[in-house]
Amino acid sequence: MKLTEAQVRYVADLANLSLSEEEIGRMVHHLGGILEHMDQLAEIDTEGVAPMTQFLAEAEDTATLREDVERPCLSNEAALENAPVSGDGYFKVPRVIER
Amino acid sequence: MTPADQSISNIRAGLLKKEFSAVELTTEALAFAERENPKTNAYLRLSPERALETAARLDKLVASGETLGPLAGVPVAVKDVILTKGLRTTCGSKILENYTPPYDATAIQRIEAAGGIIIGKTNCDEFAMGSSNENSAYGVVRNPIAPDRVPGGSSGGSAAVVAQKTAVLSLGSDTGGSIRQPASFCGVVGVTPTYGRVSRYGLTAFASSLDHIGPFARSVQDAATLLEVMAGRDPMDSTSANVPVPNFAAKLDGDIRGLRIGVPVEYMKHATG
Repeated sequence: MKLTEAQVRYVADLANLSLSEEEIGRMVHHLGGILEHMDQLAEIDTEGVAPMTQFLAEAEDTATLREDVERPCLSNEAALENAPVSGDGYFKVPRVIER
Repeated sequence: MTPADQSISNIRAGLLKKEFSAVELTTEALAFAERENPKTNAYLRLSPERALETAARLDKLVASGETLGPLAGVPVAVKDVILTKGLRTTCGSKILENYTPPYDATAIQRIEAAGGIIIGKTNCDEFAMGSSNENSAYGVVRNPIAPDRVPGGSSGGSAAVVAQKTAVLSLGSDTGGSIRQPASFCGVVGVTPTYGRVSRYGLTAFASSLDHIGPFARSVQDAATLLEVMAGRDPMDSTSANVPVPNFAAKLDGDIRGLRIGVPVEYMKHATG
């Protein structure tokens, strides 16, 4: 698939990045190249190729779940210790949803 | 005695024979690391307080004749992307310049429970993104064997401290070669275990489904022991494998006849010498 400038602008906006015209041109080229590579990979005939295995391939669906038991966790105070700004038990960050 | 020049078994024997105490060994290891570090910049910071506290606890165990853990008294350095409670963890970045984790990674908990002594945090490419250790916000690491060359990366500091003998063991993390490659550059043993073998709880994520914590050591034996201590199911990491951990070190003397090793020849096409 061919990446468009509009798509790069849209993704940059979602990521809260401001790109110059020159950078947008570069991203169309670089990101587009990655997507084109994916298209090439998708063309490979994988019919009859056994899936690669990994350690949980043969495990039960619930193998990674644990018992739901009460246990101690980080205190609110400890969790906020590194926050430059906090208040009312929360991290305070600049508003990013509406700009 | 050059403390960090030892092996796991030498240190254990020395402690049991009371040739030295854990506090003495740790004190000397810290002093040696501080003196030698300017040559490589491999440590970002040492952790004398925590190290000496752990060592003092261990000496009490020795005095009361308790069974010692498999890493008793061994100085271990930790890549600065792995969280250490109360001990600054920067990921080689100015963004986290003042970050002090409120908890320990599972690997760290298990090392200390096994008697290991965390003596410092090592330099690395920023957020583990690099392959030369030239991309740390805190300066490059030099290869201890050839100071005009890179130690590899991103776990360059962890490979360097083991090669430089300012630690006996160290921890690195590997997403796309970050343990294997610097181990090779520095001439030490590095192991990237199977995904899920070592809990990633407390490892700063690079790419979660590809990240591994693994050991550096000067012998395969010591790397095997450290891996065994860290390995195994951890309820805090749902991708940690719920499979028994074998005694890796005990399997090192087995027969390798018939073993097949795969070499991707495409990578070797342009190799010379």
